[in-house]
Amino acid sequence: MIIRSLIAGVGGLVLGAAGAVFLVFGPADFGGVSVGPWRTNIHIGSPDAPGLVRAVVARRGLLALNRSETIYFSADADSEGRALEAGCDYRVLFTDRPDARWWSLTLYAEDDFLPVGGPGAYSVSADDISDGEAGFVVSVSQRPAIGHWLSPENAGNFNLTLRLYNPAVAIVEDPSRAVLPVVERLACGGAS
Amino acid sequence: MRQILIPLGAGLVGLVLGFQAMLGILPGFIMGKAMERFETLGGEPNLAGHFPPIDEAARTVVRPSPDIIYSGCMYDVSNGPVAITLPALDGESYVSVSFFDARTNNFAAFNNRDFGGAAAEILLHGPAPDHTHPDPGYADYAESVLAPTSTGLVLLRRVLSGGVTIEDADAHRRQFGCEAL
Repeated sequence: MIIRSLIAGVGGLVLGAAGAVFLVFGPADFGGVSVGPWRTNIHIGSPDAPGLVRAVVARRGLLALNRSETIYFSADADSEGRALEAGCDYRVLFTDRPDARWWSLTLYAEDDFLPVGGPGAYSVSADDISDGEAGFVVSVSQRPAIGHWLSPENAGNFNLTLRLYNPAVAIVEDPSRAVLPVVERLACGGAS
Repeated sequence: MRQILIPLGAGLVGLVLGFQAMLGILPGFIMGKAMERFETLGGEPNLAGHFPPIDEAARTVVRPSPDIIYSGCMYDVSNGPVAITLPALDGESYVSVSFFDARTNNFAAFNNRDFGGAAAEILLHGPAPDHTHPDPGYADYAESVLAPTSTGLVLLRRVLSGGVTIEDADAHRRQFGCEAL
């Protein structure tokens, strides 16, 4: 019985460790706040989060700032919950400018790095929006678009990250109160 | 019955211990890998290094921002404190220094608004009691920060906003300082 208990204990250790690795490096998220398709983790940069959340944040939010400095909202699906695909066209509809000192919207490939081999249209920021544009649209398509444009070429199932630098106090206190853009899918069928 | 319950209990205890132990290890492992990559890019302890502008070739840390240029420093306060310099920057543009311990926690961050746009020297010191305020002149620093772990990373972010050229932003961020005292 001692040998069986030892084997079971060691097996449990290995299984527990493997389960932790699977959860941390897998697709599931923990400790997040959602606003439509956008999601942020309020524990980014915080030492106070529970163990699993901290480990997940260490992988996904490595070297990210805490939320009083910057809040990162990420979307990997459109507003109807469908995964973002390089072969589809999208409109990102801002009804107003994000309430922050400065902001940027960046497209990342499914490996969480900038897409390789495309035209380099990775990002739109506060600097690109003229004073007269209260609401505005950012087009996401492989074909160049007039106005604000991001290219998902070679990005596979891409994601969008909206960074709010020094966001309004109300958003810092409760990120779910942020007014964030709708991500609308138009047509699909282009090459990915 | 005991022949089943005892091995089952041992297995469950092992499962919980293995799960918790791995969760404890992973943040330090992930940060260690990031610091290794920083070293391969030429980073040295307590010395500022400057990353090239971000494009598709930047693959050191996930989700780098192409609207920012980064500088960094692997701090090591085990032999004494380190002075970190945030360059001066007036106006609406943004520059910050952020401090990450060896377990990835962002334990401090300051931006140019915190110091009214003026340059700021920040004293980073170690967790040992005799390092709490090792420099008699610590009060002369804009901030004094206790590092939870003796090693970690300091990252400078300079936003490319307000029509600044890469050249000007690059010259500006090179005023970032990281120096053992």
